[in-house]
Amino acid sequence: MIGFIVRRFSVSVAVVLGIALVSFIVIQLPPGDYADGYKSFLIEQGGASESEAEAQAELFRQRYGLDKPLPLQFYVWIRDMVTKGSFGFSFAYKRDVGELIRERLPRTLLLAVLAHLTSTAVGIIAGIFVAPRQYSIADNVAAFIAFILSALPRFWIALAIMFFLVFTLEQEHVTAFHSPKYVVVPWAFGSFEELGQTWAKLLDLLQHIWPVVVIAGLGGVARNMRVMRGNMLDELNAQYVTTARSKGLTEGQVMRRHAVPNALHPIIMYQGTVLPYMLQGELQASIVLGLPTIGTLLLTSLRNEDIYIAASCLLIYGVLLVAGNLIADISLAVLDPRVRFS
Amino acid sequence: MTLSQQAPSRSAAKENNDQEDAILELRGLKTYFFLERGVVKAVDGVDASIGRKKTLGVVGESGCGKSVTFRSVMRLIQSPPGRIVEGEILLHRKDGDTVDIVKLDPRSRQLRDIRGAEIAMIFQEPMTSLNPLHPVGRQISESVLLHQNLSRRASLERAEEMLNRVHIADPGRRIGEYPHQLSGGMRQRVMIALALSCNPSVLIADEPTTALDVTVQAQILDLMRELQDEFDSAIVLITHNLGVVSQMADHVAVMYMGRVVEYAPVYDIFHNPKHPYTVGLLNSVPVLGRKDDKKLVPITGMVPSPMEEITGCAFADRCPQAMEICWQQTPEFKEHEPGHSAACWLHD
Repeated sequence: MIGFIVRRFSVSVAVVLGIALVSFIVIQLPPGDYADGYKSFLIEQGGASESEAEAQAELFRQRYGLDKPLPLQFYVWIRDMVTKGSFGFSFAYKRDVGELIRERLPRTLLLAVLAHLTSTAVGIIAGIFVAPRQYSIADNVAAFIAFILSALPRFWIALAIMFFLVFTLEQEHVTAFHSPKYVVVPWAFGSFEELGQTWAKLLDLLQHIWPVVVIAGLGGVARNMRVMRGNMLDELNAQYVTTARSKGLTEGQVMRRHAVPNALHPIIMYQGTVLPYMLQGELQASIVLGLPTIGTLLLTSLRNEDIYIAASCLLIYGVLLVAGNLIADISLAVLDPRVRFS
Repeated sequence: MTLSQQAPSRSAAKENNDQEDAILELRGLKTYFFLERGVVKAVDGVDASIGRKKTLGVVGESGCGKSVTFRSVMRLIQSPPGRIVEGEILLHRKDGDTVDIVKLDPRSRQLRDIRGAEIAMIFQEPMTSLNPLHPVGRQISESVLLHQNLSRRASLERAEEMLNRVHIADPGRRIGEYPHQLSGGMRQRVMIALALSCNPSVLIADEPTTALDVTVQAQILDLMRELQDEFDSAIVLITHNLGVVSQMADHVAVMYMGRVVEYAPVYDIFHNPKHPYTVGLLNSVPVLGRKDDKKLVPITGMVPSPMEEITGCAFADRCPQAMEICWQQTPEFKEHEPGHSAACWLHD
């Protein structure tokens, strides 16, 4: 088991390095760089002449190492990441990229993981519920809803929910994590009063983030339900389920001990690929709802060719994908002896 | 009172009337499948009785309803579309009561107490009949825990003992192993251990050796015979292998199109078959060393579609001895010689 984990982990490290390289190259592909944008900014806004602006841009390139050859830039980027934990410098924010990401990553992960857990739990339970009732009314209704949910574009759902929040519920602040009055309230658990404040802040937080969780999770609910239903139908027809019934187990025991654990197999296997799917959902929903997460950060950095932010965001998404797969592999090994022993 | 009745030997017990000493009786059992395309009468009026500690061989072509009949006994028919529409399945329980299994709710406590404890089943596919996620010991002890008042630990010890009884070497290690670590023959042994772990009075073996190598087949059959003596179980052996039947069975029921067409002691089936279908089956078995002039004779024609509405005898179209009446009236299944019944107009 430990050998299995070590093996998988070392493969993952290699994959992450590969992803870093690809992210970096992809970011360099569009023509021009941040200095070009800076140059046109100087010409248009500052009234500088072409040559003055070019000189400024060149200075800028030298200062941030943009004039160096690409392999060297990549090397420096990776070196600083490993040795100093620095992800490069954001030209637009004039701050360290690592700092920016550290600020936003926990929120992003909170949203993505919440969306992920909700969609998995709801989807699996719904799948287990409808499978033994194949072609019943409940099954058909669930299938209908699932198809609609997976077909609707997420940005559209986000807009619809935002419209509903603002015009029907008349909630005042939709594009933030907290209402203004709670922003300065600390997460404290010391006294009874503080606990009350923290609780109120938590409720306020949930009130603001549920649309993102729902939007990012909805498609996942539909997918998980369809997959779980299909697996359950396969497993319920398997011979060992008949064996379990012929032992004299109740239908509930047959499901819990035999059919469900086997049906979970493919769901767990693709959990690793679902995490980035959730991040992508979180990205769309956050951008529409204007929540300051990594998704919005990536979008703006791509617009103004703020390469280190963009590359680092892509890298983070890559790392999360790999981590998701690693976790899925390990959980599968825990569940299934055939994976564990081979 | 004669001496032989006071101390009946195994052969003397065989002479006893089946009805008196039956453990399981099927009466007019009909199991239909209600599909969109029509109604499939998979089992269409089966009468059979299984004697205590006896072996009944059930033979017939694929699709003749032999598996469905005994899955009905365990109430393992998926519903919908399948349903027992008529008939009785009488089980004489260990406590002396007689219960009609057809009348029980498939989810009832009463039926679950019968499954595994009084009637157990072995299936054709040893590769898939065990759950791949649990160690085999736990799969056996699960059944023991359910039906016997034992602790978790004692039930695992029972599982180990059962593995020993089915001649699996090093049972202490094997109980912790998973099905994928065992060979097909071993898994079938585990299934037998599982089935017998609660001393059932009836063991239904649905083609238990079909998926195994010939050498392993023989071992498994020997094992079943040996354990039948130890555990005093009646065995229902469903197979299409007449060789297996001749070795194992006390009585044989030949099924065709959802009905039993002939029922007799094993000797009579092979030496004095009454139904032309039985004769056809026997003629199509290859025998090692048989002379060239006795070539294999296949049964001509095809099995009719199970959805066809048939008047008269279902076998008439394929029967070399068919008469006018065979297409007009269904022959009754009745006793033509003591202990030997058939459904055929030839003997009326």
